[in-house]
Amino acid sequence: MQFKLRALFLAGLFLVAGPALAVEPEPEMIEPGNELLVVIPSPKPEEHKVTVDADGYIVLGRYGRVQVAGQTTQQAEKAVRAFLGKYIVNTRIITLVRTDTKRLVFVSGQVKESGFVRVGPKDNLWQAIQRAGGPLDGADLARVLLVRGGGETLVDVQSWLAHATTEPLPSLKVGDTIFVAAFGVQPKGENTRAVFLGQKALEGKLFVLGAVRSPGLFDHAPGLTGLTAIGLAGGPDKDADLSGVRLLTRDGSRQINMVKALMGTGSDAAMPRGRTGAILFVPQRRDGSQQALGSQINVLGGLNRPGRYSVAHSVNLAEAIALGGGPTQNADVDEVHLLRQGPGFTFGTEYDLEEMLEDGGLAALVRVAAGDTVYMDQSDLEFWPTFVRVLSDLAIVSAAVVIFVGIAQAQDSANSDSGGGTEPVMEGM
Amino acid sequence: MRIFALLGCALFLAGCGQHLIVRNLDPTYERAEIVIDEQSVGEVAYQETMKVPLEPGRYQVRVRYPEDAKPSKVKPPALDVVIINDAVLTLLPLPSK
Repeated sequence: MQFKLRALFLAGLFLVAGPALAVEPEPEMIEPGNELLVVIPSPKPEEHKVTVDADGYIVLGRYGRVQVAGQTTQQAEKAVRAFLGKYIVNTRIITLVRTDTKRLVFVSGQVKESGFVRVGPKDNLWQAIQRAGGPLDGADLARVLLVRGGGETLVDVQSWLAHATTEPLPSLKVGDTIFVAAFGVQPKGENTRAVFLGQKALEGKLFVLGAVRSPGLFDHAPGLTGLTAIGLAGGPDKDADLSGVRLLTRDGSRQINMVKALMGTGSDAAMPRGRTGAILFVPQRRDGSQQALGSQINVLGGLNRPGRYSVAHSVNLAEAIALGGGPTQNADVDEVHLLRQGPGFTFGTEYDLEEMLEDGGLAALVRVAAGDTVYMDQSDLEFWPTFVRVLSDLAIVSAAVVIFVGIAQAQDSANSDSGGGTEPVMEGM
Repeated sequence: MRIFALLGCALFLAGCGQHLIVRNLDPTYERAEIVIDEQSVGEVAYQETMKVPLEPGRYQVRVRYPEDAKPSKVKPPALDVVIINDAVLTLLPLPSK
């Protein structure tokens, strides 16, 4: 249970810190300049994103400094837990991960463990493949694809390994993607990616779209998995949300959590074969309440149509209230609250709409921006609206009674006139 | 006597004026500095409240954290606000980068 919770928590962390947290190639010693993320989930959730200083220490806010340099990530995590044991009861839930993204590359295809690997500044392509668990038996090392910034290069690692060439392997750059193809596949022309896996399996095609570097249509291959497919498409974009990858087929769509696959807590999804036009969609990461709310504002309280409204740009207070259908009968127009929320703060204040409409003034400058909430107070005193309503009802009823009585009297008098035997006076008789 | 009367009036007016009330509910750091229109108006400690008297007007409010917070915290954006009545600014824990 603990492990599951921790795994879930780490998966959550991945969303926050991005793909940087994916793979922890051990043993690699922490050294000054490394970036670490220390997460203390309770009693109050805290995150300390810290850089190891020249002395090998990290500063954990008000708790103080801990030495971590010269230790592996696991050792440093233990050291941090021991140090925080003075302040926190349950230290087992404290997590320490490396977050420096400077030397991460994505390796996929015919390697043992597809995913992100951290490489040293002098590491080359072969070392990156080794950090991904090494090549599988069927890997064609003579044609390893290196994708860098949209461009592609085929690298003959086999010759380099056999000392058949003196040409050094290319050094790696931040964000490189390495794709190791299956043996025996002959790349053709410029459309390398599409043909790389294609000769063995042409039953179906797979679209890889969304937040990947080279989205497109790719040939399927036996055993093609989600991570491999993403690698085929140039690797995930820096904004990719690998936890919410969607596989769309004719049978419907399903969500795949690639983060779990990367973390080793979930299985990599096999791509369906023979499903023409299957789509693997990698969404972009969304974070922050502003983004979630988009360009919408909340207009609530004593309004005729309270709710959430989309605005193309910021509106003023009166426009926001107009969007909400205008004030109701018992709305307090002199008490309009504006609530704004942002990262690390909430701001709330009150404006007098009546004053603003009468003489403009400062309130006219108030802008309601996306994510804001406008709340118009309502009078708790229901007496006057009810009184007015009852009075108007009474007036209607009274008017109806007066009219009815008037008609009745008119009819009575008409009847008495006709039934009374009064002979019409004949003039001139 | 006149001085006391003036003082009383001044205190009354100060009490009646508008305030920006800043509440610090961010336990990450012990104190946060409040900067209004590029001028520091003071620091507010965790779980404390600070009242900044302000004339009605438009202000830019910014929160500044201690130096050691910079690498680990998202900088809160400057807040452009129109103050006519009392306003409450509540400081909450910031999300990490």
